[in-house]
Amino acid sequence: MVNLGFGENVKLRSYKIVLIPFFALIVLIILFIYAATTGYGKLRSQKQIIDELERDDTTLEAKINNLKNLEAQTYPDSTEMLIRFPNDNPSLWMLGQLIRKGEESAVTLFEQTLLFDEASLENITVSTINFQVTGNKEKIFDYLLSIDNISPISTFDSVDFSESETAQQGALVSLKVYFSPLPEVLTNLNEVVNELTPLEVTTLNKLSEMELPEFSTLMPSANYELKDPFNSFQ
Amino acid sequence: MARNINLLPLEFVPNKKLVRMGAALKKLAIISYIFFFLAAGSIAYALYRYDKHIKELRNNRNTLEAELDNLKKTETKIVYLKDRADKAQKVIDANTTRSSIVTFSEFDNHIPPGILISDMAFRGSRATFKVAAENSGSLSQMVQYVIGTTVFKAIILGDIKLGENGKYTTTITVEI
Repeated sequence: MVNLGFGENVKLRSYKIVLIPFFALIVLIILFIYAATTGYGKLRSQKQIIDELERDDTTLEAKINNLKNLEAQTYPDSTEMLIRFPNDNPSLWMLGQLIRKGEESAVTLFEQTLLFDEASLENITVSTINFQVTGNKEKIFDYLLSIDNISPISTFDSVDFSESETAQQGALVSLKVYFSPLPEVLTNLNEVVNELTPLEVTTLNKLSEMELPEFSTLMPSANYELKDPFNSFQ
Repeated sequence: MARNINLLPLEFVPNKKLVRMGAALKKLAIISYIFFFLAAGSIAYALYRYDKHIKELRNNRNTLEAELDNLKKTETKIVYLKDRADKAQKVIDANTTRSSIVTFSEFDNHIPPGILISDMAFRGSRATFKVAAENSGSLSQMVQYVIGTTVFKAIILGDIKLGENGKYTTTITVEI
């Protein structure tokens, strides 16, 4: 090895010419790998967020347009629908409806019983009203058929006419009344609200034809003077 | 013409091969660094643009959500109506007894003379009733009327009894 006198040997200097750019390249490769993995990962996640946001925005815009269209359409009053298909047990006021309709149809109702058995049918709760009805056979038929047109929604479980050879007949009726809680959650933010199907519209129209009960509101009585029971001269 | 004159002793001159290799590596490193910085800059720019776009999209989403909040009442109404309609349809579909009563009521309006119908019982799509006939002729007419009508899917004729009063009685079960 030849010494130049400056503490540096020629061979090492020759290698330095190669080693410095070589190490620079190694450093670059490491930097490149780091930047590529980090940068690509970050770009990918950002792209994913953008795609999701764009998709959500498109869905939201569609939902808003859809709701604006629905808002412009005329649908039956949802509050009235809640009387026709209530969310609370309507047995008691249905009984009132049955008696009122009975008076209109010239039949007599007696021995009404309510069974709050509340058997559930696909999230619909059922309560049963049993009653006896007497009257002319045709009138009973008319009465039974008219029940279908009164609120709340009901169906016959069974109807048993008692043995009678006279014009006056009696029938034991078991009527089911239905109620169901309202949905507690609305559709997801990114879910489009579907329009009412023709069948749903037909069903709602059918429900709309059902007679609503006459709920009477009790008004407070006017002020009056209370007599003092201990003052006989008053 | 200028000439390059190297006065260094030959043993001090670095290996030509290594010098060439070093120069090549140096050139490669410089090009690579330029390329790296360009690529890194592009990635940084793309990230900046993406970030800006995300912010825009989030702002747009907030506006849309606010707009949707204003339409919540309509949405609630539609959801309620849909719920009621679907459930009511299930109830209407299950209302077979009423259909039986309607059909039987129409059937009852056209029964032949000399026939008395009593003890009707309705359960779902099935109706059972007792028939009292004045004589065999009336009973025969009644049976023909029941069979002839197209509203019943199935007819079950019960035992025919002849009473002391000369009247015939039977029970008929029909599937409507």
